[in-house]
Amino acid sequence: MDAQKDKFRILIVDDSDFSRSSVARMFDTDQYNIIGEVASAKEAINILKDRKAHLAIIDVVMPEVSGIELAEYISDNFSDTNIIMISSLGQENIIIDSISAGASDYLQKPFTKEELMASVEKVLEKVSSK
Amino acid sequence: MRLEVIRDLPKKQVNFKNIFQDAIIAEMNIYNQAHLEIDTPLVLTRIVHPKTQHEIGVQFKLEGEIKGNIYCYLDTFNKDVTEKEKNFFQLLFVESMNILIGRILTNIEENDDLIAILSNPSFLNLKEQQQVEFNKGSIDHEILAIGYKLIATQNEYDCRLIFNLDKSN
Repeated sequence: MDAQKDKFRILIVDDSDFSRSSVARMFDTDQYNIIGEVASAKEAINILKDRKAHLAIIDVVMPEVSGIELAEYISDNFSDTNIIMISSLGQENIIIDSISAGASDYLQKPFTKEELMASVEKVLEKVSSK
Repeated sequence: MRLEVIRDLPKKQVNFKNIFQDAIIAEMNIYNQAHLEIDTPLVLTRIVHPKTQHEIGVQFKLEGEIKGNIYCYLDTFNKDVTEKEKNFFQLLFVESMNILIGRILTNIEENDDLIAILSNPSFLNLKEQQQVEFNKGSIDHEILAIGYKLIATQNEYDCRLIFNLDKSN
């Protein structure tokens, strides 16, 4: 993808309204296009069926389908979508499960804008180089 | 015939007070929109009363190597806020508690190698809040309480966290 011509499309999946909007607010440059802010795996999958996302930012603990299960599904079915997992939990087994499910990075809440952007830029470097 | 003697070995008593004390977060910035700081220290308690009729209650369940429930209360008594602000504070409160508890559980894993799984939050209505029983005097449960101030948009709210922990596992 030519980053100069197109914006990076980002999907945010978190059942917390507050967290979702806080994360979305951090993407305040023209470089990024938030294609969806959704509260569940089901809504996320519906969006991904319609629109391609370069990056999905997914909360680990969600009702019904967990963030880790969603990450596995995205890795299997939307392989062009990179994943960053976010959670208030920083336990080692959850981080390992997240990476095994296909996540490229893991951020523990609350994170700063700088921490998020560093992670996003690192993950999206792969997209730019394609 | 061979007889086998089966006996209960004494269980190693877990001191939750020390475990949680070492893991407590003193203060935390929540996405530059709010600030949490300890107001009253962690104490071992046996009786928990509702503070006012204006508390918003949220419950988290703990599973894994630490089992129990965590009840979080936000006191909105005497706060002159609009319905919109109240809604914002509810969302802020729930996510702040989620983040705070997640950080505490992460510290517990690092310090004591105990893994606890945190559930999604569920709101308690006032009736449920009054019905919450804390197993007074039960040797199988330990109750810990701590107070925080949640500061945002120049307002300051009292928050309480009640850890009702199962000592029997």
